[in-house]
Amino acid sequence: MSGEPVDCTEIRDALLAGSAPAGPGVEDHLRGCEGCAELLRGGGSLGRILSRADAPDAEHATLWASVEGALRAEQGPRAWLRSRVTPVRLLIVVIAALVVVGVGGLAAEPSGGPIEPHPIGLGAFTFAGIACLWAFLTPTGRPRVRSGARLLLVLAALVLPFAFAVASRAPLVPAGGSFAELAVSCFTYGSLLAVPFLAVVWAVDRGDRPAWMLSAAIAAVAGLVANAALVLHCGNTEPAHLAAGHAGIGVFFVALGALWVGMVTRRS
Amino acid sequence: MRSDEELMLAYAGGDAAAFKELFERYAPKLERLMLRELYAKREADDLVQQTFLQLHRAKLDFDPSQRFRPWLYTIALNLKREHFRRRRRRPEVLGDLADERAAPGGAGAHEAFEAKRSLAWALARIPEENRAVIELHWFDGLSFAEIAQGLGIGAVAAKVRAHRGYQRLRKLLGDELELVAGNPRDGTGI
Repeated sequence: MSGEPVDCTEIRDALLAGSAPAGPGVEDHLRGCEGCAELLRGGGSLGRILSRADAPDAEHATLWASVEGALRAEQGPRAWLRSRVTPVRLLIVVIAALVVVGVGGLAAEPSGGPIEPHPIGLGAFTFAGIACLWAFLTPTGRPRVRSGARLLLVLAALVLPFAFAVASRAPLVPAGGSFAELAVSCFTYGSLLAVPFLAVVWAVDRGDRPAWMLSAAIAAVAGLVANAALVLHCGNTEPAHLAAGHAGIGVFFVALGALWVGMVTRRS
Repeated sequence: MRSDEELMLAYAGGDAAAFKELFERYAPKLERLMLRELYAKREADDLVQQTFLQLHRAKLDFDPSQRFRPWLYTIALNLKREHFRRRRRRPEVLGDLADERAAPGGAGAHEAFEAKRSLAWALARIPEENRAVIELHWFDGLSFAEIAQGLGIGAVAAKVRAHRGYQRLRKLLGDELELVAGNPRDGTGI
């Protein structure tokens, strides 16, 4: 190589082409680039061994045929929804959550007890839900949020309704049923409310293969949506009821999701 | 010849032929990327197909002010990571490589096979963040600026990751590197 300044890509290209990069330009570069210095240490042995790693070219005619077939199958409402830009997909999910919370939350409670909406609880559920969706529905070609951060978000979305239950003061238990009956009633109602939300998320998600973390995140957000609706719908503020009948919904869907991912993964 | 970015924009605008051109340009590179740690052609083909399907679904997300190549590689690497996570396993180093051992070619071919296997073994054992940068730079020819864009990190951070990866590879490959250093014309053309 001449005395011209060189960069990392030129060093790599030279090693791949079989030459030993040298000269004032290379020396200048190595003084400021520890990576290339490491590659060229010991006669460039590491660079030379790296050049052997490529697998041979493969035949692509059949692969193109299957890609073409898959593209042809991309028809219908779901194909249309999942190919929208990511902000629109997120907006669709948020609107679905608002509709579920609005319709399900404002429906009259059978016991007719007094309802005291909890703005802090609702705000916390909304914030955690949006953070989770943002982390998991990032545009396809963007780097993913680190897996540790995603795990923390999922855990926060699961724990938040329990924290809300524990923090509930001045328990108010409406008449009209035993603890178990009231808890099962709320749990069933909340779980049913989460189903249409889950259907919308499934429709806009671009993945074809179930993934553990994604399934847990979506299930936890569905739990938050159900809990937000129940905050507006149920006047029972007894901590045990809130934990079993409300907060348990997220855990239930996460477990269900894990079972489903496990089954699909084993089958494939 | 149209650039990758022009082709992607044309495809987003409805030009189906542009997609095939992108496929022809990148399918072999992506297959190599997948085969590097999978060594199972069926799984690699499946991941390449998934990458192009994701590309199709995300066509409206493509930002023409950004480079196409790092964007595509980010999609491919995300899918590859998810594949290993789903299978709860580390990248493979053997598999179809065993077939190469039986191939004729004499002592030189055998040494080349061993070196390749050692490298695959070592690459599978360095942290993913280092491996991804080395793969993208070394095998796929992306500059550190392009890698930085694709991984959402700074160019300096990408170089530091590569450097740490090289150091770890050197430590893992130990004896193999000494052999290569002592035999600079060892059948690899260098």
